[in-house]
Amino acid sequence: MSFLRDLKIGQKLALVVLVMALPVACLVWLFIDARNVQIEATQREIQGIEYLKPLRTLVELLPKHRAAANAYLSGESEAQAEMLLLQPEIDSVMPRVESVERAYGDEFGTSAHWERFKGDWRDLEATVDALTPIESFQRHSRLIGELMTLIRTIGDQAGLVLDPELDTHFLMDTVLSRLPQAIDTVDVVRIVGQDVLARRTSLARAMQTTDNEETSVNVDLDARQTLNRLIGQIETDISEIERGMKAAVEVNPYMADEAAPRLTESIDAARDYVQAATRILLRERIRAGEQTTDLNESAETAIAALITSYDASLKELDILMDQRITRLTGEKYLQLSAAIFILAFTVVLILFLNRTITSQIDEINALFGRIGVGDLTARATVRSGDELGQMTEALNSVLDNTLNLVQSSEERDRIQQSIHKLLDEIAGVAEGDLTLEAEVTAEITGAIADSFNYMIGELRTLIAQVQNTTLQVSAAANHISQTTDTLAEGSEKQSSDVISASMAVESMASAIQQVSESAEKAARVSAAALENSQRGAEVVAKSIAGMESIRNQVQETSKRIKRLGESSHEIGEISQVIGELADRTSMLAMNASIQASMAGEAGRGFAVVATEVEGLAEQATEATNRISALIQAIQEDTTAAVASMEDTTKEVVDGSALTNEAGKSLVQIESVSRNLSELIESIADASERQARSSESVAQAMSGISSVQRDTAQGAREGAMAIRNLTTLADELRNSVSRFKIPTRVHHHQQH
Amino acid sequence: MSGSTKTKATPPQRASTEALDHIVFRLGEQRYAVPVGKVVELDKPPACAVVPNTPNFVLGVTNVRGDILSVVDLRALLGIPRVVRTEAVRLLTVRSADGEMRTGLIVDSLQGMRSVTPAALRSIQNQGDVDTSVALQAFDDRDGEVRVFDVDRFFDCPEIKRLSGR
Repeated sequence: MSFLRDLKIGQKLALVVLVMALPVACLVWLFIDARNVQIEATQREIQGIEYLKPLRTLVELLPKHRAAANAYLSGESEAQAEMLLLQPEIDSVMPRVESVERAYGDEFGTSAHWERFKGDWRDLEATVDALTPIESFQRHSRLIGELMTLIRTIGDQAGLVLDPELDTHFLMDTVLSRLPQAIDTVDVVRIVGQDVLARRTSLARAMQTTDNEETSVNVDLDARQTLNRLIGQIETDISEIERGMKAAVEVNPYMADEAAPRLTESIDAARDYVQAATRILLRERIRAGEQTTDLNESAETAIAALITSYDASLKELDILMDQRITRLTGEKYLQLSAAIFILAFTVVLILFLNRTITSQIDEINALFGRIGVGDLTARATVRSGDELGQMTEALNSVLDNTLNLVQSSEERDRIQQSIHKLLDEIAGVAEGDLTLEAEVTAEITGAIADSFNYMIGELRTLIAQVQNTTLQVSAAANHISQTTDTLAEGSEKQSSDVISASMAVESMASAIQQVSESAEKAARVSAAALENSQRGAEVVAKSIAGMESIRNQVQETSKRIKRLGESSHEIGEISQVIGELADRTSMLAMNASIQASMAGEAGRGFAVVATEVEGLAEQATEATNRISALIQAIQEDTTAAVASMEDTTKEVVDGSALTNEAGKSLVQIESVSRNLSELIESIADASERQARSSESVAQAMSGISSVQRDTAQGAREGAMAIRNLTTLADELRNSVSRFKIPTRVHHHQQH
Repeated sequence: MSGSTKTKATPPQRASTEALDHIVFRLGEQRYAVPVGKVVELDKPPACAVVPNTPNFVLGVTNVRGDILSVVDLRALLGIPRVVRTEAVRLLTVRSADGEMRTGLIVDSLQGMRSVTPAALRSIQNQGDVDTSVALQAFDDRDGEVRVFDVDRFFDCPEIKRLSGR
């Protein structure tokens, strides 16, 4: 971006314009290109319409030829003349189509199609005489079908179908498909209708009646269905055309003047034809002769009206397309000129801006040029009210102030000269020459010179004193230094003697320490033994207590079991009582029975009751017998349990006796190991005391040694300090020796 | 037997198909049944006054609510060895068919009552070793054979007859 800095203001503005112009140009180009595309599409549509114009004649004539050929082949010889009249007419259209085909065929890709159509027509023209009416009808219809396909292909290729505007779109639809189809269908209805009429006539003649509608209706059933369908199709087409026309007129009111009336006429004609065909073919009774003519005339009228509207629509399309091209071209040029105008306006505006800025800047530049050559009276003209104008005003006022300051510079020059002189006089002092004196004048600098002279005098006295003192210090220091060196050597020797004694004491102390440690270890071992034996005794005591509690529990259980046995015995007694009661009850019941038996018939009921009671008493007896047996068993079990409990108790007692023995042995072990431990501990204590006393001896020795070392160190440091002092005194003397002092002063101080 | 057929005072027997209640008692290993109609009373063995010059099966006489009864030890009468008396021993007082004679029988124990139909009775006369002096018929219950003690036949025994002095 550095090149941007180097550009002039004008160039910068030009660059901005250029950058702005680029997207504008692109936008304009895009707009114009879009217009051109639209124009091209419209031109293509116009070409399609050109192609359609000659085909319109074929659309009209081919159905006519089909009708004539059909009539002729069905036996109406006068139709041949009409057919032969139509053929050259069709042939004459061919070259016109050929010419448009040559012009646009390649573009629309219709050449092959057209060639086929042309060949088919030539073939049909040549062979039409030899065909049956049905064959002729089918081949004509196929040819018309091809023609319609050709028209639709052109419509697709030329973009007519895809027309973006509503009015032209509906017209296209009408021209391309609705009108040709309507013409074709009208013709088909005519041909089928003629056929139906011919058959009716012949039928009527054959049956010697003139109005037997029922028969004819029956005969025509198929044809009537076909006709119904075809007429329905015509109606659909007509209503589609009408709908499209209304929509188009709504969009483009101009169409109401020209194309719409033609279309309305054709719609009316087609409606009339539909009515006529319906009336003649589907409703009315047979009336031979003029009916055929009616139908024919009606069909001709309808076809002519449809063709007219076709022409009108094509013309309308032409006009609309031309209008569209004109409009689009106009829009294109309008956009182009608007863009150019805006660009030109911008350029002029930028040029004007550039001028206003640069004129002011030129003024400032000129001002600075003149100041550069020393012209402080120069002033710039203010040309604008913007920031640059304000800057110019500020510059002018700065220059005014500067001019005022410059006026007082002469007085200053004089002061400067006297200062220079003073400086020259005292320059020697800086180099250490204290013999100088400054001249005292009446100027401002006179007072300064006086002060200077006083200061130099003071300095002279001070430096002479320093030199003398240093000489004395140096001599004394040398003397002291020698003495301290001797002292240091003596004390160092003493220190080394003390150190060797101290080492001997320390080795003795460490030996005693080893004895003490061994004794301590032995004490720990015997303490562990004591602890173990105590733990064993505790365990034994616990196991004795456990056994005691087992014995108590066993005794308790055994008591309970005994009590259980006693309880069961009581139960036995109770059950015995019950047994006796039952026995007596039984006897009473039997006596009652006996009494009842003696009472004869009256006692029978009582006898039954007595028998029941006796039965119950007997059951009670049996139950008490069973209880007795159970109690017997319980008592036996109880006795056995008590016996085994007693055995257990005995074993427990034996076990606890053994454990007691073990406890006693452990107590003995404990007392032995306690004695041992005490002995060892006394050894350990003795050796530890010894170790402590030897350690204190060693400490005392090392204290002596360190005092000795400190002394020697102090003597050495003193010697070193004195040497430093001597050196410092020498340095001080050297530093003051460069000052020159008058000899008078020197002598005065030495005295 | 003949005594019973001769006795007019005996109430007519009911239809032979009807069940009769019997009192069952034990004597040694054997059980016997007495029809209820022949029994007067059941009781504990009373204190007996010994009567001199009586056979060994007569234990003596006793006073039951003012009536003097002779007491017969059935074991001794039927030749079953005597044993020590138990608590279950009972006095079974029976009467003769004419109702004039009453005798107390000492039995080992009472076994309750059984209802017996005539159809269940069977004869035991031709079974060789069976003592038919007081029993001709028997029936079976859930514990085995029970012989029917014939009271009339008992009273017809020569020893008993002699005792009553008739």
